[in-house]
Amino acid sequence: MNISGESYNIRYENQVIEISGKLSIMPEGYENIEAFFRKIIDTEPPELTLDIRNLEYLNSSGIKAMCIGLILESETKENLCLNIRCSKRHRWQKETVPSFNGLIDNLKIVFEEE
Amino acid sequence: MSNENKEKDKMKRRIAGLEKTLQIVTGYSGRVEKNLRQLFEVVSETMPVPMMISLKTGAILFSNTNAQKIFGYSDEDFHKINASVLYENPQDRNIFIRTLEDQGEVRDFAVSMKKADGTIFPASLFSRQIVFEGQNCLLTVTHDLSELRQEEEKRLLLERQLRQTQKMEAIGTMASGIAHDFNNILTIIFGRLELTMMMLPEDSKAARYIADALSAANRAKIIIMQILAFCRKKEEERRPFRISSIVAEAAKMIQSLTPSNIEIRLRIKSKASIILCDPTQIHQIMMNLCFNANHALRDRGGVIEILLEEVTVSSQEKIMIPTLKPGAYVRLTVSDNGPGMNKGVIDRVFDPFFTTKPAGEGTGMGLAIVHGIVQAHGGAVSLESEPGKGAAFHCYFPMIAEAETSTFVKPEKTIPGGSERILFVDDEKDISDTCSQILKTLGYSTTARVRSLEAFALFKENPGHFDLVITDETMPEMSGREMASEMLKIRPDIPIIIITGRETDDKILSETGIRAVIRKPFGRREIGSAVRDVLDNTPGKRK
Repeated sequence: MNISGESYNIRYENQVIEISGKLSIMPEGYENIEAFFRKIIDTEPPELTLDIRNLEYLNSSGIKAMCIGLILESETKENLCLNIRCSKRHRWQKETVPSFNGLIDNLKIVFEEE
Repeated sequence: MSNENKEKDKMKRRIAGLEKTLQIVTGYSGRVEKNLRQLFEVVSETMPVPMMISLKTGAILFSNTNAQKIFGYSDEDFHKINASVLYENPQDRNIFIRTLEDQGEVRDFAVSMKKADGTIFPASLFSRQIVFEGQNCLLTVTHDLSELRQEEEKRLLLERQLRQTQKMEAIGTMASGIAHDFNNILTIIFGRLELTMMMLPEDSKAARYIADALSAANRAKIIIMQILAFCRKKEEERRPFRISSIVAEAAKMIQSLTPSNIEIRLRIKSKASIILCDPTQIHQIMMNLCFNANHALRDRGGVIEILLEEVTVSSQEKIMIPTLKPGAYVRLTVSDNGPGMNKGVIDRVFDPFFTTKPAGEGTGMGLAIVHGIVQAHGGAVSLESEPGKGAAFHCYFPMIAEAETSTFVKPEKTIPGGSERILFVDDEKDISDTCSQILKTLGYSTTARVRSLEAFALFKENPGHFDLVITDETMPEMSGREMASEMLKIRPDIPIIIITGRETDDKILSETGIRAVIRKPFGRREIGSAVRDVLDNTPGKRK
C-alpha cells in the first residue's frame, strides 16, 4: 500500500510503514494519512514498525497525526507492539521523537547512529 | 475489572495520551517558531538593503540595521515616526498603498525618499503584504538608487565625452584638410607679397599696403595654427618651448571668447622662460582655467588675471605643495575676483566629474585635466580661494636650463642667400613659381617642376647637378617622401627639404634622410634660413 504527495512517500509492506521525504502539508491534508494508518492498524498486525529514517522534515500537524493517528491508535489493539526506527541525521527527530516515549506502553524507539 | 472500569481506564489513558501529544506538539511548534524567528533575523540583518515592516496606517513595527543606517533613524526612532515622513512627498505613500492593494504586491515603485537629516535620495520600493505578530502588515524593501544614478550619470558623461572626442577627431581631420589648402594659398600670398615688396621703394604707399596685407596674412596663419593646435590628433609630445608665447597666444584667443563685462589682464614677467611642454596642452590648461573663471564672473563681471612669472620653490614651499621638488619653476597663475570657493569645494575641485555648474553646463573634468597635464609636465597645481575673495590657480612648470635649448637659432636680421643649384618640386604651379622666384632673389639657381615623376627623371639623369632638392610632401604620382627616398638611393648625400601643409612627424622624416621640414605657409625668411642652414651643414658643400 502506498500514499504519496508532492514531496513525500508513505509505503506499507511487511508490517513496516516507511515514510520518506518532507511532510509539511496543511492540517486537513493529514486526514488521508491518518485514515491510511487506521486501515493498517485494523489489519491487527502483532507488530508494527514505523520507519522514518528518511523523513527529513515533519511539521507540527504531522507530529500530531503521528502521535494521535498512529501511536495512540495502535493502543486500541491489544498486544500490538509499535517500533519507531529513526535517525539522528535529522535534527527534528533527535529533538522530538524521544518525547513520544510514555505515550503508550508498547512503544520502542530505536535510533540509527549518524 | 468491570467493563465500565475498563472503559474508564481506557478513556483516562486516551486523555493522558492526548495531553502528552499536546505537550509534544506545543514544544515542537515553539522550537520551529524560534528557528523561524532566528531565520528572519539573520535574513533581515544579512540583506544589504533597508527592510521595514509597517502597518498600513504608517506605524513601523520592524526595521533592519540597513534601514536604520540609510535613513538615519534608530530602531527606537522608527517606532515613533510614521512611514509617510520617509517619503519626500508624503502623498506618495498613499499611491504606494493603493498600488499594493490593487496589485497585491509592489515592484520597482520609483519614488524620492527622505532621510532623518532631510537628504533626499532616489529609491525603488518592493513590497508585499504579510502577517507579522498577528497583524496585517507590509514588508517593504527600499533599494537606494543614488549610486546607480551616479554610475548612470558617469556612464552618460563618458558617452558624451566619447562622442565629443569623436566629433573633435572628425573636426580635426576636416580642419587639417582645410588648413592644408589654406596653407598652400597663404604660401602663394606670402611669396607674391614679399616679391612685390622687394620691387617697391620702402617708404612708398604701395609698400605700406603690402605690409598691411602681409600682416593680415600673418594673422590668418596664426588662426590656422590655432585651429590645428586644438583639433589635431597628435601623440603627446614635449619639446622646449618659450611658454610666454604660448600663453600670450592662448590669452588672445580667450579674450575673443570672453564677454565684454569680463576683463582679461595678461602680465608676462618672464618672457624668456623655457619649459619642456606640449603647447596644445598648455592651451588646454589656459582654456579650462579661464573657462571656469569666466563662469564664476559671468553674472557679475570682473577681472581675470593671467600672470606668468619665474619662481624658486624652496624646501619650505615644498611642504605646502608636497609633490613639488625644490628648484626653478615658471608659475602660470589664473585668478579671478569672483565669488570664491568654500573648503568643501576646494577639497574636491580637482576630482574628476566634480562640478558646481548646473547640469549640462560642465563636465567636471576641466580641472582634473589641468591637474593631470601639469603633473605630467613634472609640475604641480595649487589653489588659493576663500568665499567672497575670488580664486587663484597656480600651475608650476619646471624650467629647463638655457643650455638645453641651444638648438634655438636667433633670427637674423638679413635673410641669408647663396648661389647653389636647387631643384624645387610642388604640384601647385603658383607655389612652384613663387618659391623659385623667391629663391632666385636670394641668389640661388632654381629649377622648378610641378610633376614629381618629371622632377625625379631630371634628377636621375644628372644626380650631381643639384646641390639641394626642395619638395612638397603631398603630390600625385609620387609623394615627396617617396621621391626623396628614391633620390637618396641614387645619391645618399643629396640634402632634401620637405615642405608641407600638414602635421608631419619630423622624427620620422629625419630617419628617412630628409634634412629639414618647412611648414606652409612660409615666407622668404623661413625658406631662406632653412635652405642656408641645410646647405651649410652638408659635407662638401659649395657656395
